[in-house]
Amino acid sequence: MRAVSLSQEPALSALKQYFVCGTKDITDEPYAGESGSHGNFGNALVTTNGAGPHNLQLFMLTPDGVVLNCLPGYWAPQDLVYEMAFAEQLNQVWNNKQYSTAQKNYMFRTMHLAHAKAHPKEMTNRSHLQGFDALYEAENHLATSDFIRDKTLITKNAEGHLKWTPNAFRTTDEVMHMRLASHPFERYDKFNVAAFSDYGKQHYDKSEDAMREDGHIDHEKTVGQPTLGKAHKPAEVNDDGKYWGNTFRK
Amino acid sequence: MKAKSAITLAALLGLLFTPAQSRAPAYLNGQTAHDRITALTSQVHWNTSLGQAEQQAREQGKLVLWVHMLGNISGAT
Repeated sequence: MRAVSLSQEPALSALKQYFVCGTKDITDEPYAGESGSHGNFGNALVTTNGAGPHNLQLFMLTPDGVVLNCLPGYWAPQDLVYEMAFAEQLNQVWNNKQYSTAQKNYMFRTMHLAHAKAHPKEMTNRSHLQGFDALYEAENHLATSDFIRDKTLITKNAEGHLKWTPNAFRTTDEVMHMRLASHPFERYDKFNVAAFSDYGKQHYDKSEDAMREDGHIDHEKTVGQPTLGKAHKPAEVNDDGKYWGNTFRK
Repeated sequence: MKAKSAITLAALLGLLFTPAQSRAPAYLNGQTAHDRITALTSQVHWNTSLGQAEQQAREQGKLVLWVHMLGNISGAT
């Protein structure tokens, strides 16, 4: 993320000019996933928006700690800035003293859902679930996952393996707004990170450091590679029971 | 964030979807990645205290970008 997105334009200029930045190491948090460890001289790889949601979350907060926007996993720099500008629109709603709390919450919900529908096609094309994450959702959350748009499009082939058409799944850029819409102007310290980032496999690693420039993995190099993170605990519904993707209460 | 800043931020969107962005290489070797990480950590101050970040944001009229990650921004991740 840092080498292929945060350090690249237009993200870098936006960070420098419009945000105060900070990081939290979530290695020991129960919601953290697991990843191969990558040093400063490790290879890096561009991936799809929303890949690796358990290992990375980008919060856009008001100065008083209210969540305006949050992106799970990796996001391309142009899409990150697009969402940053949206966070500023929400900040103007939050700071508008003419609106009641109910009006602000309504606007938060409707703006998030409308933003998802207005995403440029190029952004949505960068936001498809990784194949292994789609398989995980189909195998483990077929009846409940908000990523599954139409489960009738997920079937088994003659060998018993799951297969699907692209329309079977929603994209990450749509679902993250759906999930946020149900939690308007929530405080960061009350935000259920585990539930928000709950989709796909807990382990995410593309073996970048064992990858050659032609994209092939040298599997001998992957043996014994260090990892970060630890055994992941499934998300629990421990907040107000409102819809949180895979963990919503029935 | 001040209104003027917001407008400028919105103007940054004009940089979206340029051919250069869409042709960005998918793979970066370690030296290139290192150079980019060095640029990121030298040009942007990364707080590790959310309270301090929020205080600075209040003083500067900005929003906070708070990044959860395995590891740290300038080391192994």
